[in-house]
Amino acid sequence: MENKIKQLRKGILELAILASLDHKSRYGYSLIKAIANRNGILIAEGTIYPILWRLLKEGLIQAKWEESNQGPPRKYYSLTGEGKKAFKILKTEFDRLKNMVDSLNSKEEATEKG
Amino acid sequence: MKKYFSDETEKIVESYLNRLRSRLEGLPGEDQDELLGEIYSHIYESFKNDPTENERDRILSVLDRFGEPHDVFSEKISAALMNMGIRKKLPFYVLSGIAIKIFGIPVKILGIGVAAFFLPLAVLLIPFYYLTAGCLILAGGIGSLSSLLRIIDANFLGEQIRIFTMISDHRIAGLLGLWTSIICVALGSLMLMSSKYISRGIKFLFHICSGEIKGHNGRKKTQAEGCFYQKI
Repeated sequence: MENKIKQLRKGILELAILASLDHKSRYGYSLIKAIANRNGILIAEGTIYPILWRLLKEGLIQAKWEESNQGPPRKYYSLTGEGKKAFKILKTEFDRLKNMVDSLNSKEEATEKG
Repeated sequence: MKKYFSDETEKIVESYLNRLRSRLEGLPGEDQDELLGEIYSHIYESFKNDPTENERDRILSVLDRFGEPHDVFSEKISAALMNMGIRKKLPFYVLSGIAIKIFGIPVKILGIGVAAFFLPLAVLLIPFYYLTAGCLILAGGIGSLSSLLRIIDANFLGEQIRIFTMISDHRIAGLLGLWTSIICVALGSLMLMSSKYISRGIKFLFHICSGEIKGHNGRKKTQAEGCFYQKI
C-alpha cells in the first residue's frame, strides 16, 4: 500500500511543481519546502531535480542563476507562457479526474446505504 | 569552486556529489556540472535550516532527506541518453542508454564497445534462443515420460527411441534417462527465465522508440534533448 501511495504522490509531483511556480519564481529548496508544507508530499527531496530538468528542456519552465548573500548561487525557476498553458490544461484534467473519483465514491456509498 | 562547509562536511558532500555524478555519466559535462551545482546549493540551504546540533549528524540527515543517488537518478538517465541518441542520431548514446537499462549501472566506453558488438548478435540469435529453450523443455518432457515408462516396462516402445541402450538393466537406464531429461527441462526453463533480461532491453527500446514517434507527431517542437524521460 505504501508503494501505491508513493507512486500516486510521484505522479502528482509534476503538477505540484507547476502549481508552485504559477505565480512565483522559486529555487529548488524553496520549491520543496512549499510542496512539502502545503501538500504533504513526503518524497526524497532530490526527486524534483530530474523533473525540473525535464520541464526546463521541454520549455515549460525557465531558469536563471542569482547570487545569494548567504551561500552559493541559487537557480530560480518560473513558468514560461507555454508552461502556464500546460499547467491550466493539466489542472483542468486533474480536477476532472478528482471529480470523477469523488462521484464514483459517493455513488458507491449511496448504493451501500440504500 | 568556493567552499561553504567545514572541511569535514565538505568532504562528505563532495563524496555524495561524486556518487550522484556517477549516475549522470554519459550526459554532457556542462549539464552534469549545472545539475550538481544546483544540488550543492540545495544541500547548503537544507543544512543551514536543519536544527540538528552536531554538524556531522546534520549533514547526514540532509543527505538522507535528499535521497539515495539511485533513487534520485534512476532509469531516467538511460532514457535521457537514448532520447539524445535518437534525436541527434548518435548510436553511442542509444547504446549507453540500453546498457544502463540492462545492466543497471553506467557502462563506460569499453562496456559500450562490447555491447555494440554483442547487441546485434543477440537480436539475431533471439529466435534461436527461444527455439532451443522450447526444444530442451519438449525433449526433456518426452524423455521423462518415456524413461518413467521404461522403468516400469522394459519393452516399452521397442528399441528405437530408447536412450542409454548400452545399459542392459532397464531400471538403471530408465533412471539415467529420467535424470538427463530433468536436466534438459531445467536448462530450458533456466533459458526461458533468463530471457526476461533480453526482453526487458527490447521492450525498453521499443517503448522509447514508440514514445519518440508519438511525441514527434503530437508536438512538432520538442526540446527534450537529454531530457529525463516521462515520469519519475
